[in-house]
Amino acid sequence: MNEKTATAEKVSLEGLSLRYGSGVLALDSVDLEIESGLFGLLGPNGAGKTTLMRILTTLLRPTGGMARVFGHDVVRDAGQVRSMLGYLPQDFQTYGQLKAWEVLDYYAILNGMTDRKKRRARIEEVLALVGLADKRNQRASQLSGGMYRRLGVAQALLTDARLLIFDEPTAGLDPAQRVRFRNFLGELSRDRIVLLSTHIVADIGSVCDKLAVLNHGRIEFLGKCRQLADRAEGRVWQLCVDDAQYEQLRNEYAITSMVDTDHGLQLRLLSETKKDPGWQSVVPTLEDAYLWLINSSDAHEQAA
Amino acid sequence: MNRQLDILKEMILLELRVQRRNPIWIISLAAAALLGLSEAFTAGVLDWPTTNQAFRAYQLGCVMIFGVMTFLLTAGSLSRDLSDGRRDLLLCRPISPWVYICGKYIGNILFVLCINVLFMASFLIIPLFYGQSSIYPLRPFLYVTLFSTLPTVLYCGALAVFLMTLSRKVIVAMPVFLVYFLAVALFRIPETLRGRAVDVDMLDFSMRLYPHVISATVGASTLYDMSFSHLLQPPVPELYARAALYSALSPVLVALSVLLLRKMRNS
Repeated sequence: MNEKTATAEKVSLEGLSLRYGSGVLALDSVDLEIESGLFGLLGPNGAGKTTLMRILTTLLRPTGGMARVFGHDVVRDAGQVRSMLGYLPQDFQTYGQLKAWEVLDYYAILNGMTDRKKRRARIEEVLALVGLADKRNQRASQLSGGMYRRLGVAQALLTDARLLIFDEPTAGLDPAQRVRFRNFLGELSRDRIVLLSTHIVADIGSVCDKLAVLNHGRIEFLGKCRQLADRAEGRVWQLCVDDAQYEQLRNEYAITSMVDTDHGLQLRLLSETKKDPGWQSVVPTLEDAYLWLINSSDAHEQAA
Repeated sequence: MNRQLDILKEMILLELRVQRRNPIWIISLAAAALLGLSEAFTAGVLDWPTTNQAFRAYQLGCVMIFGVMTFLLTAGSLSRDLSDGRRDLLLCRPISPWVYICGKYIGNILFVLCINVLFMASFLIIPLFYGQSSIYPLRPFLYVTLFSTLPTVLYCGALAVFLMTLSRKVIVAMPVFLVYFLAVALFRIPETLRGRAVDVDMLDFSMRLYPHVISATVGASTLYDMSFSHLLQPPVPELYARAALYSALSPVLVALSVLLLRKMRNS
């Protein structure tokens, strides 16, 4: 495969930067390559995830660097990029008074699907795919939170997009809906790129093969989920304490979990070294590793 | 080009379908009917002076209420796409800003004009309720439709598109429009409160700011005061001129809206 063909199969960012008019640097020289499959973008609120997604969806112009979607520049070839992507924004809202199929019909027209027969057939396909076939005639405002979210996914799938971008897709869903939704995303990613942005670590850990962690507009980690977890190896400790010790520890360490047991409070905390013989080293989870990475990044930022 | 026209056609048809279920047109039509038809029925049809009153009621219902209806429907339709939570879903689509704006604009204009035809038909048949064998003559009603209602509807639709792409919020666009559209009445308020006659030059000037005010000067009288039989004559040049002016201004506003939408997308 030559270089040009390879570029046409992926999303690539080179030194991508965006500084808002207010002077805030939302993205700082981000280099990233995303290939087919489900790619997770993790980071705290304000890390630059949404900014990155808005650049890829041509909604924002970068102030530096370059972003290419399947070989097309997001600024120069914005029209082509738009025709290749499906986007579910963080706060998906739509025409509440329209029926589910009518909402999709509207977005299909905005996508340039003019053949009515083909459009209707595609709408039926997509409704079946997201499990809303029996709700096709229900008004969007009458759908439950999970169904409404799936309607949002359906509108992103209308054009059989090669790049799907989902910004915080599981926000507001109950646990069962979240699991179903994550599995659904996994199925979608078999033959296209699905970019999933979230700050819910469990969502990434359960479906994404690769992920990037963004903080302060920079990529702090890029690799596989297991590699991220491995980074926190030897830095996650489990211990049992009473309330007074807990008050002292919470000011010194990042505590990743706390369970009230019969023997006191069972804590998991992050520390570079073992500070007490009672501390037991445990296998880090993705969440532990993520918190360790973000804490280290924040500390480095403050020092700088 | 053909593809863009196909998308435009689908946008217009979709807009007609969506607006059919919008309660605003039913409320507006009911208001126009209350205002116009009730006045017409009260006035009767048999003598010409009161017929003139019925006709003026029709003008008022047509021009004022249909103007406001056009604005409400068009602005509402755009606000559903341009409001904060939904704008991204529009701007990331491959649709051209021209096609989108024109689809919304033409769709809503056509919708209002269809309702206007219904409203006119309901006026034309009033004499039948009074035992007459014929309906009102069509020509004066067509004059009002062509030289007043149509420019008003075109202009108000264009204003809705422009104000919505500018402000993106119906809550901002609406008061701006209402103050402008109804301000003609404000010119009369100070004089009326002082119990004086309205300054004719000022009133005449103010009325030229709007397409919906029938005030073209015809000799010593104004068109607003003209009798029904006057309107059986061909329209006066000023009416042509004003209808042309506001009809021409409308595409300019639409073009500006397209530029605003393009700028919004490329920000």
